[in-house]
Amino acid sequence: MSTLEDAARLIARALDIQAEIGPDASIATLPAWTSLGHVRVVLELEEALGRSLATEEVVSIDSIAAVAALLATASR
Amino acid sequence: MVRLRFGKNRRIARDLETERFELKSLGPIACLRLTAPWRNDPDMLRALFQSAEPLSLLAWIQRGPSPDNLERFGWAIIPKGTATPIGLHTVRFGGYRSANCMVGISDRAWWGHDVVIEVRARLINHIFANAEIDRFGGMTASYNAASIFNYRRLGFAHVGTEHRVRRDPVDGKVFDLLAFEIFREQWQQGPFAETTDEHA
Repeated sequence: MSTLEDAARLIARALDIQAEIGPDASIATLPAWTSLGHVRVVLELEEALGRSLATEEVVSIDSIAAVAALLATASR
Repeated sequence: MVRLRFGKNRRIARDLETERFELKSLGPIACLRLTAPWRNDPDMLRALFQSAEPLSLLAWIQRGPSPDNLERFGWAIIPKGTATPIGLHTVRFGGYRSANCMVGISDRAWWGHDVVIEVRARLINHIFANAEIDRFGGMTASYNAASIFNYRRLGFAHVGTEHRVRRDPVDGKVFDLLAFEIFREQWQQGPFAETTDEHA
């Protein structure tokens, strides 16, 4: 499974979205991605990676692609 | 030290509204009345000062939000159809054609409902339309993911990090401070820019 798919599943779980999320989804296109939702995304991501995110990593989270990029760091 | 200044920038210090909220422009006394209870609220203290250390009333008067309505402005955020503020958004002019924003939402029931996005967008449009301001900036703590989201969602760029610059005296945690900014021309190309200004 690609990291984009993993990222979409993580976002769906964090934001409680049942529908399929496209690979180009972002904070600008997902209404469920609110400020509190963003906190849940960060927590889910930290759990998935097994570590705390660095400040610059937290700032970078604005899309499925950005989450996928962070997930990819775990498999390197 | 509290500086007393007189007069009012009436183009800026005026009541506004958004889809869901009335934004009531406040003077220093009304602002103090609204925010003084926050000086013992850890969440509000962290939101405003990145420290949960309680403040005395005197310290709050000196350090807390205090609109002079010349260079410092504050709006109570009031859901339409109600009379009770759920928070405060401030704008402070400083530096060259620059303004900074700060917000506190004291009613937890409204957390996660994009209050800051809606209110800040309205205020930025208002300021850009009515003041010689070309840049908005803001600082937030690295642990405040909700605040980081609000800046990014509105199109602010992360322009710097002061690493390990603060320590919360209450829980002892050391954290970074993040700087965000957006310029007028960037804002006007973004999704929250208003094409008309009814207040001009």
